[in-house]
Amino acid sequence: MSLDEKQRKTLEEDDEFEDFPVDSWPEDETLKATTNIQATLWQEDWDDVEVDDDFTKELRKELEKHNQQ
Amino acid sequence: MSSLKDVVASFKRKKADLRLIDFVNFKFQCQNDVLAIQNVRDEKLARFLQITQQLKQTYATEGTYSEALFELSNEQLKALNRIADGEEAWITDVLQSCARQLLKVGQELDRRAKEESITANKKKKVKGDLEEETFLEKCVRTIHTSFKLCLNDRNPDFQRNKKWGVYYFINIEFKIYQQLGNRDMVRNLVKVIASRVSELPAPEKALRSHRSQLITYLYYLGEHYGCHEGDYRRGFEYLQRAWLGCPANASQMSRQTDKIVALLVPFALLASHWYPDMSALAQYHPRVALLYAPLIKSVLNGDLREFDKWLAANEMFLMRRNLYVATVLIRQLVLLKLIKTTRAGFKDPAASVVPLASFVAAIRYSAKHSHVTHITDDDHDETECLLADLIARGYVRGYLSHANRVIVLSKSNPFPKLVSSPQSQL
Repeated sequence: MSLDEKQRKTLEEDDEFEDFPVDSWPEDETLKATTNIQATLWQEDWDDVEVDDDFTKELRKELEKHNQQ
Repeated sequence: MSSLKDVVASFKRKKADLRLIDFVNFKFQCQNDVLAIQNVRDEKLARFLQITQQLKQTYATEGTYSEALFELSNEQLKALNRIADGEEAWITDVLQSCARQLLKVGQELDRRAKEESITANKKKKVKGDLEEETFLEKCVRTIHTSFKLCLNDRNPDFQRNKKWGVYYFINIEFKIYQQLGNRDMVRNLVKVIASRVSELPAPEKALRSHRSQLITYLYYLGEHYGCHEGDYRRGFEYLQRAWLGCPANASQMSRQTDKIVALLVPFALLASHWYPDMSALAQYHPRVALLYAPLIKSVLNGDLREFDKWLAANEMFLMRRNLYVATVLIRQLVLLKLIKTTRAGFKDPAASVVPLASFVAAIRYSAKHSHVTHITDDDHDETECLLADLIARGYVRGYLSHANRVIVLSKSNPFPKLVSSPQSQL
């Protein structure tokens, strides 16, 4: 089993949501208080992102044949 | 070893101290002082003390979770419910310990019964009788009484009102309904909470010193709204609150946070067309990043075949996590991206009247990755359907002319942005 598969297995293991093993933690130790993750994680305007990968190139080639516009 | 006198004193002082919490636990012995119980004038309290002592004895003799132990635990919570009716907020911690203990016994007995029925079924066929009530179904009724007496407490002194304890029991009930697979009961409970929200303390305040429970509560609500009501915006808001409230300590950022973020990513896409930065996601949640990398890639480049492959490969997992519907809806975003890329490649990308043929070719190529030689009427019809869907969802502004096989796109803003972003909701 590759490492990737192992990681996937861990994620899929159990479907039920368990409480955190620790009952509580101070507010200044939460993700919100210690990281800026909320601002860095989410990207807007996904549909304006120009992608130039193999798929897009092939798609463009294919469309040129059909493109009457 | 604690004595009954200490326990009675805790009740008198109205303090959920460690002595009292330990007394509830049937694993801890307590001096069996018959005289002390006889001296308690309060009948409800005497009954609770007596049941609890019986419970401890049963566990001490049997040393295992038995049906008798379950019945007594259930009686213990019933007896405490009667006391709690006349008490204030302090009692909710005791109630919670008692309810969690009952839940544990019920879960264990149900687990055993299930195991036994699996082995028994192999030997002989099922009896055909009506299904017997599970232990969880039995105990949830008593726990619901605890919930109601907290919810309906009319104490005008808000600080001492038992409403502060209401979330303890909501969480236990969520857990039980989840295990029983009873979505109707979850829906009922969510409705009750929503209708009483103005009377209740905010969960962040009530569970300030039980953050683990706060996360569980927010997770269940987010899961309910997103996975079961199709309300991705609300689902996103609850889950983002849950996620940001998790401990930042890396060793604790494990299964729970992964589960939250596994829902958060598809909900963010559907609610606001937000997608995660994959390197940031990989840094904090490598397992989730691994799962969604192909999905995010196809959302960004409009590759339907890669999306369909990903969906097929993860079908079972997505079904079990109730994410299948959400991810199927994300296919429309892949399609939308494909439509936009196609249009951007036109000689006149701003033309509003667009023959369907180019879109037909794009969709067919994207779905199959093979050259499109011949376009049939059926292909046109299929493309019209897909585009109609995008128009209906508000992803595309315009209309279809079936007779002319064209789509007429709105001259201004044919691909509108969603109005508000998730961040602004927080």
